[in-house]
Amino acid sequence: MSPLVHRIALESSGVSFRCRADETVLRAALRAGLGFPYECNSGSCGACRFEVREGGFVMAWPEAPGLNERDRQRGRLLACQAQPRSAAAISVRGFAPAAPLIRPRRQRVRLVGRRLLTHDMWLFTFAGNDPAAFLPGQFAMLELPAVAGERAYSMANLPNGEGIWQFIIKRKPEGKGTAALFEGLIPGAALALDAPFGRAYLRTDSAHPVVCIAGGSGLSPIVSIVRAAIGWRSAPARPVSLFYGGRGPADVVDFASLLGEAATAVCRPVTVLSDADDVPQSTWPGPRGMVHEVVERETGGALGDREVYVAGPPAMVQATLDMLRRNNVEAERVHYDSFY
Amino acid sequence: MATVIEPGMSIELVPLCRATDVAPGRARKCMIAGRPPLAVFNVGGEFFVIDDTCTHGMASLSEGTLEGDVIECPWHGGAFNVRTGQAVAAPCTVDVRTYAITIERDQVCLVEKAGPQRPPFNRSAAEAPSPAEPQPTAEGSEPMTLDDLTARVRRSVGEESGLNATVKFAFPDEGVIYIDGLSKPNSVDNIDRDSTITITLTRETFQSILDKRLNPKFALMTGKLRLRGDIRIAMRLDRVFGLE
Repeated sequence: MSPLVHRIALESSGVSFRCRADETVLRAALRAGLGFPYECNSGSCGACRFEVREGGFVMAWPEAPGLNERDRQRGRLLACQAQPRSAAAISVRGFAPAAPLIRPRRQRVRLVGRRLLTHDMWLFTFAGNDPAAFLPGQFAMLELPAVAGERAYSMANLPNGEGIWQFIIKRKPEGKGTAALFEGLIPGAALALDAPFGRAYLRTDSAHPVVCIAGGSGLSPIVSIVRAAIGWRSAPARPVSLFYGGRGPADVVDFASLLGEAATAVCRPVTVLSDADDVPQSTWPGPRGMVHEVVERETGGALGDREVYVAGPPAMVQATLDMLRRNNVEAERVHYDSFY
Repeated sequence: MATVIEPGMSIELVPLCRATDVAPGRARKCMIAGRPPLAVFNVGGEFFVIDDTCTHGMASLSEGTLEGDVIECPWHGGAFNVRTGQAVAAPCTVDVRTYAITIERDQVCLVEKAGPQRPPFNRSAAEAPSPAEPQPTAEGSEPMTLDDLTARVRRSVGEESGLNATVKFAFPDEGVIYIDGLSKPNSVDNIDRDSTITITLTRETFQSILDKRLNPKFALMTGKLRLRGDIRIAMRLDRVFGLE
């Protein structure tokens, strides 16, 4: 029996769209080509919150942290979690962001293989039957075997006609998602992929020099952005610098092997280690400290004419945004992806 | 934290916008050269000014929803009290900066201390001037010319500064002070050429640092000076100019 489909009206814009009962409001809106505010699509950031004018919803994750006390008092819901029980009318705050450049769609992909990059980060390669359509910096929702709910992973490769999707994924000791990926999948295994999502993608309408700052597995979308900024037919080539923050020497990435010699020579990656106090200078002669501090030092804070892309754990993104604000970098030039 | 204005202080007013441009319950973003964007709020006829950029992400608070004296950030729903700057709803946890203002002839104006801004840095209570006393006239409180500053730098550098590098202070459109800390004896001149490190700043900022009215690390963090080159050499300058 096919699931019910409900019509949802967006009060502020007078537009309505169809949403299956087993689909979230956010994904239905994006698939309909509507500009709906969002960031993480995982219930954590709060960007997709809305107010209900009419109708009822089911929340996939009722305790999702993206709603604060004020939101709950006002009965707001998260569009990335809400599934409609009936026709509905909702209100999203005043402005509407631009329509998605590529509408997300579901497909099935097969695991082709994986390759070790550091002690706990791997490069996974999947292949599907259709072209891999996404913007550098975006992410996909993967449905993993034996895991409820989907997980968001950012693409590390470039959009391509061969249907190849690559992800740099950090193995977390207690993560159910990564356990399923690392133990539950063998080459040839198929899983469901819904993509693309994300608003921290490489902007191609300007040729400003690009500064990319990655922490941990934030490296995945940043690698895609770096590759595109260096040379991609859909974007102007421009100066790129890459800063990558890890904890210790075991987090060091062989960029020449990952990006290729030529690309590495162009972006001259700077790796910064934050927890290397016991490591002698001879073993690690490179920069130490927090990656955002090294960015500020190396650039002297002169980031005003750059387009800045940041991805990594929330604390690292916060510290980096603080540094950018201190240096009066305009909000429109900063694109960030917090890995909740 | 707000600027503290005390009796007897000489102040200057920086106009932001007309009071009539901001209706009750509304906000307006104001851009003033050399400052972060500011947001002017009208709460039932009372005006408040805070930094426009949210302390959490990069959103413009003036585009948010004002309910009473609380502004809700448009991006993630965090909120601030516009009177106090206090963060009152997650995910915002860092208070936003507030500014003292006054309405002068229908203009909403920032109220600031006149003269070079003195940002706070660590000084003992005994050293901090009390507001009732007149400002001390020490060497350098009058603006110095490039020649005077060069002579002053020459005195501090001496014959052997310990810099072991060349340092260029570049004053946009006004020339340079070049310290050759490699030659024996060391020398100081105004000839522009390559250097180990280059520090770009205004003459006024440089004088404030030499007069110990401005902490150079603070100046670097707030963009008042730009550094190209090895920061460790810049740190040796603290000793040369007696700033430690």
